[in-house]
Amino acid sequence: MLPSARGGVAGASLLPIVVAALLAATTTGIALDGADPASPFRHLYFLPVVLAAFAFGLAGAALAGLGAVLLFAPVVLPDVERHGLTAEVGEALVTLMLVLVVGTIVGALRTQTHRQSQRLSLLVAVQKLLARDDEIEILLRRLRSLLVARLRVHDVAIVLADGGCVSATGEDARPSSLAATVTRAGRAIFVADTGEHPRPCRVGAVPLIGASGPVGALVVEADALSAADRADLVTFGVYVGLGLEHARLVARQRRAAEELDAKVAEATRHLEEMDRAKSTFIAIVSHELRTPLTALLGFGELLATRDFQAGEVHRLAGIIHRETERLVRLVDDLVDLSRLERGGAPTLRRTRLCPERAIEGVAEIFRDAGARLVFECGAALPDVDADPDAVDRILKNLISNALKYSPPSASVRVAADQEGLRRVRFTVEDRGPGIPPTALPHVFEPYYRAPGAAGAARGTGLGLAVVKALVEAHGGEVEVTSEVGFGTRISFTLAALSS
Amino acid sequence: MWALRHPGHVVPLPFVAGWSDARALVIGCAAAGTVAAANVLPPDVAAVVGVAAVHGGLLAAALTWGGVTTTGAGIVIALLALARALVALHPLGGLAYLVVPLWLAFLAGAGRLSRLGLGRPWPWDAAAIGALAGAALALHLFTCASRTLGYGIRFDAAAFIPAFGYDLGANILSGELFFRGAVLQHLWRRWSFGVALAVASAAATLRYAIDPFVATPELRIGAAVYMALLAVLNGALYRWSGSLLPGLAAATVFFACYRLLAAG
Repeated sequence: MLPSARGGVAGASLLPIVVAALLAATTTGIALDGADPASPFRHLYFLPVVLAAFAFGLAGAALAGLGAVLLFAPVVLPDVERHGLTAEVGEALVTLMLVLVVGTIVGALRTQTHRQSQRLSLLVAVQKLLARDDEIEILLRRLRSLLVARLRVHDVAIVLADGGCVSATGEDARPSSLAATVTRAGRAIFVADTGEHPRPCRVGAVPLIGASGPVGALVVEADALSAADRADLVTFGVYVGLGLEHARLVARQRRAAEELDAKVAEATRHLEEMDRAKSTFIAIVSHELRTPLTALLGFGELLATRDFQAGEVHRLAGIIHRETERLVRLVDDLVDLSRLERGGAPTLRRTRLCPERAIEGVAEIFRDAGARLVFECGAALPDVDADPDAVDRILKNLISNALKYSPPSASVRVAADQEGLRRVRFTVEDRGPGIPPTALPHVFEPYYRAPGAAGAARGTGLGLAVVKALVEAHGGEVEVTSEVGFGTRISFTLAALSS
Repeated sequence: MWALRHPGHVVPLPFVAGWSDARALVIGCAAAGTVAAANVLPPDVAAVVGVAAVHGGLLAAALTWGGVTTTGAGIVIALLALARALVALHPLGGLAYLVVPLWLAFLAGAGRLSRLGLGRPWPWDAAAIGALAGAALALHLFTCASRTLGYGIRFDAAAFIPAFGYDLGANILSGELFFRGAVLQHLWRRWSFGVALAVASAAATLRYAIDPFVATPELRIGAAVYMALLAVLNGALYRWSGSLLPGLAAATVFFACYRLLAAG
């Protein structure tokens, strides 16, 4: 198993013929020189032998040297037969020995340098391949093809410690197999013969060594695995292991960068939305503050500058009172929101609260709505553990929303029912236009207003966010279900107290 | 892939695996060969026993190694003994040696010698190259023998037929099947090809170096040199082609030429 020569010596296919021709020409020269063993032409044997050594390494030198010996033998042997070991024969034999020694040395050096050069070339090719910006599976398949082509082996498989395997047949390594053993143990194993084929089939399995230990195994099946081949395989294992680990890190880094980009883009989009929502919110709040303030200012000025009958004064005071309440609600919402954004929970003063009384209290406030409000309370509801002011604000927010978004003639149902033994569920249900499914997950977000809501009614986008915060501060849950064209149902639960 | 299915520890087969049934046969052949070499038998009887014991023993060992039954191997020994006995009666009796390659060709055609490297598909191209290589080696032998010992080429049917029949039916087949098909292959499964070839070729050469029937030391040295070259050549052909056929072709051409050599 040697990394295959690509290109090699120019005109290498003609070189055997040239070497043979030179051997034949040298022998012919000696024969024409009287077949004298000491003929100076004998030195020309260096030429084909060294040429073969340069071109084909040790094997080429050995073959050319053998050819020289065989061709020179008919010249030397008759002299040995006739005269014994004369000085001329000795010279001839020394020349032949030198030819063989020089050929062997040159051939061995050429084989060694060729091996090193091919090994370096293969390592560079492996590094280039693993540096590509591809998926690991694709890289491994390409790596396997490269190794099969360049190592001159029957087959190559790459087994990964995390269970992946790239082989010609696509089969995975069995847990007790040689490849799995090498992957686990992290040491190379070589088998002289599998015994499965008419010809010997060597197997080499070397660990792929990463920075943190074995990351897999490189397995080859070949005709031959010399000691140098085995050492090369172990080296390949280290290079491929490090390359694979590097490729994995790059892939992981790429994925992380992509995820980070996506998160940054999402966060940026969200911030932009929040910024837009805040701008809208400021405009709305300014308007919402201005409206009651204008009423307060106008009616206050009227009361201060003019005389009214008692009934009229009472009516104007009522308007001032309602606008003041509206102003207080708005300011309360802003205070709660500010607290929420700082990460704080609303301050609660919990006490035993009767659900029916809580609903009746709110009903009093919304008595102007008259028949539009339908109140339903279950029989013998248990008291709940809640802050009366907070429950009041929750119900006011939900009912005012329901009234705002419902047609003037549509009714709004407000109910309280026991849910199991430990909870009471409050429900506010309207017959308004409903909330689109895409907007439902966002209705409890601060500043959020569903598409079309801004045109339908005034609002700050704070009400439901405050509701959710207050309910969750009580340990309850708030739910919203809606169907476009049929209305919306918002409910929340509070913990029931035992009687 | 083998390494993905099989565990790492592999216990290699014993070197003489498959010999248990034929052990008595082979030991008997070795004993008979020793008796034949001890000059205690009449020459013709010693020749019959020697051919049957040495070549029959090598062939029987190779065949049983390759999975042929003891009976099949015994048939080869009997055929060799019969052929050598017929040669003693008449030179044309050497043609009887051809029964052995025919019998082995039948076994190979039936796929029973594939473990020894003989079987379909037949590599005819490689066999032709083997024949050319054998011819080149024979040409070298001609040149050296004629220049050194004054040998020439002479065809004498009465001498050629029994000698070449012996080569074809006993000498070549036993050498190739035993030293290449069995020994080289078994060694190659354990060691590198170079080491296996060196050991198998040395063993094949040793057979000629100690052959008591080779007449003179010069011939013995010459035989050892050319048999070593032929062994290396045939080993290389076996590795290249994966078949014994090219080696058989090379040896057949070489021995045919060798048998045409004659002194004077």
